[in-house]
Amino acid sequence: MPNPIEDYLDLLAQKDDQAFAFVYEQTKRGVYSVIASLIPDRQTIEDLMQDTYIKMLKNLNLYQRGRNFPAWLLEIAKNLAYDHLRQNRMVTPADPQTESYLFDRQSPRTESTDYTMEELTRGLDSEEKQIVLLRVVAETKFKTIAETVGKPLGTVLWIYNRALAKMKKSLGKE
Amino acid sequence: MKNRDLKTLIRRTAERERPEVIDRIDLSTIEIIPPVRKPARTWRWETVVQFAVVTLFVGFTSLFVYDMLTPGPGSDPIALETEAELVGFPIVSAASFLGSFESTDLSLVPLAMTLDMEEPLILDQLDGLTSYLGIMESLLGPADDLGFTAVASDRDEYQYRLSYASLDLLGNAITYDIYYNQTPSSEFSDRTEIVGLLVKGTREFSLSGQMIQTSGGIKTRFQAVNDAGDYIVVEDKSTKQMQKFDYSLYQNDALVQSHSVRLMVDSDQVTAMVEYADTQNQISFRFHKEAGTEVGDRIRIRYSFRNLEGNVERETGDITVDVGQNPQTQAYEYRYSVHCQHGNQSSNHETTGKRKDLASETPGNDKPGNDHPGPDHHGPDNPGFQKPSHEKPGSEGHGSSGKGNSRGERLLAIPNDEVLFSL
Repeated sequence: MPNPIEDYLDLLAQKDDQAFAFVYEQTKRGVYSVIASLIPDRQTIEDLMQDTYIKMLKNLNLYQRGRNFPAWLLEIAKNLAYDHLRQNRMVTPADPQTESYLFDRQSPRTESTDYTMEELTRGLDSEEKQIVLLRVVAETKFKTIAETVGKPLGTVLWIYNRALAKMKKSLGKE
Repeated sequence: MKNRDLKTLIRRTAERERPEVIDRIDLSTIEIIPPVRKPARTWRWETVVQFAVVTLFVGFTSLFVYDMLTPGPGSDPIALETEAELVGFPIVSAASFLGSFESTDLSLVPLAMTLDMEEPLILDQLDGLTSYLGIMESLLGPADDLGFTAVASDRDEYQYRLSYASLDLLGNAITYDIYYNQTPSSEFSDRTEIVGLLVKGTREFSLSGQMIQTSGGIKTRFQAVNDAGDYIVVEDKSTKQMQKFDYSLYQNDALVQSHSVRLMVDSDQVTAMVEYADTQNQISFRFHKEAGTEVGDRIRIRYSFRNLEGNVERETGDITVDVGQNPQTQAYEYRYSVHCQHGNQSSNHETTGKRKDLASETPGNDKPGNDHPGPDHHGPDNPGFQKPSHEKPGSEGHGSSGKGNSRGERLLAIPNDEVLFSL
């Protein structure tokens, strides 16, 4: 099946703005999903997303045409997130200002109250988060997800179903 | 909460929280690393000769070694290799066939093939073909993706659990869980009795069977029973050259359908051949899956009708099976595109057929009509298949389930004096 992104790579290499906008739109949810599964802080997510696209562009000629561009880009995003965690020794300081609403909440949650991604994915490990977000948010094919997380397709499917069940159980307790 | 609602919530939350960074990226400031140009190769005559000699030597040696290692004509690479696959596949396939047959009348009817028939023979067989497509949707595909995994049992009455996960043509997840106890046979030291349950979403099939340790590996024989008391027996008839399973379906204790399935690996893809026959005629289908449309993957089938008297091939052809949505009912159906060769004539036909939605009983699917809550049957991951153990887990007897099947369904015992395999 032809991959439309591949058609834009030559233009992208010439720094064509429209080509970049197309590739960005097609991939931003996947890049976000991978990074957000590892990094909870919004500002850091934003910085790492920017770094991902910059690195993608710099190394564009290293990508082997005809392979799996989205998977290649997700790998860049994942490696940058892991590098950040290593550099910061996996410590993410809590910002009392941004999380104060969690402690201030007095009334039980109603249907109109928005959840945060942190709340929704509480109880999931980073691999489960990555698989769920890639599938649900980015609508990534399971085969690409399996390639990204480095696990067999059958295992990925099993983890995905288990993660959804965990999330429903967690939300059901509130 | 329904899966569809949960996914909507996740997407909405992600859209709200996801930052937009496109405006922070100035392409003009980014230096793109130029492509690496390999230096032009200059040839030296001595190098060329050395290379040619080495190539010839390696090539000749490889041919010799290949000839030694190749088992012989008619051999098929093995699709099922691990013990989890060898045990899990016959159980899952038997339950899948049993589930597909439930709404179809498949009493044994002679394959009516006469010289005067103008209509392609295959068109009469498409209803029967539908019964196989269900298991083929999830079974066929990359050989590395056969998803049988041993996990910890989360049901107290069963000691072991195998989990199977795959995708249907629409990309929906299909999962099966096999719970079972195993006890050594009281009569044969190389046999282990299996009693258990196959769970697929909200449906459960009782199962019983045997595993036999042979010099060539594990052989199996299982029976799966549904709510109506229909049962299917699957026997492993594999040899060193091929993997083959025979299925016999019984309704009201009468044999109504029998067929065999051979599994092969072709270019790293699992393919299957199904054959069934009566005294005069035989039909075979060869299935493989490939990437199809934007709706989902497709299955291609190569078929042939053969008259066994005189070994005459009556009709051959190709069928492409896609899944599409019926505009009136919104249900997903099979769309058949048939090209057949009947004698000197060929013809093309298109038709549709009902599709049994195997994924609708599995949680986590979001296609319309497929959103049904299923049992929460996850558990800790515990890789590694348990070899048949000679330690009794507290159960006893042949055909019993130890602490008992949780639903108290009828379990069929295998007659002790029945010859299962000739080894």
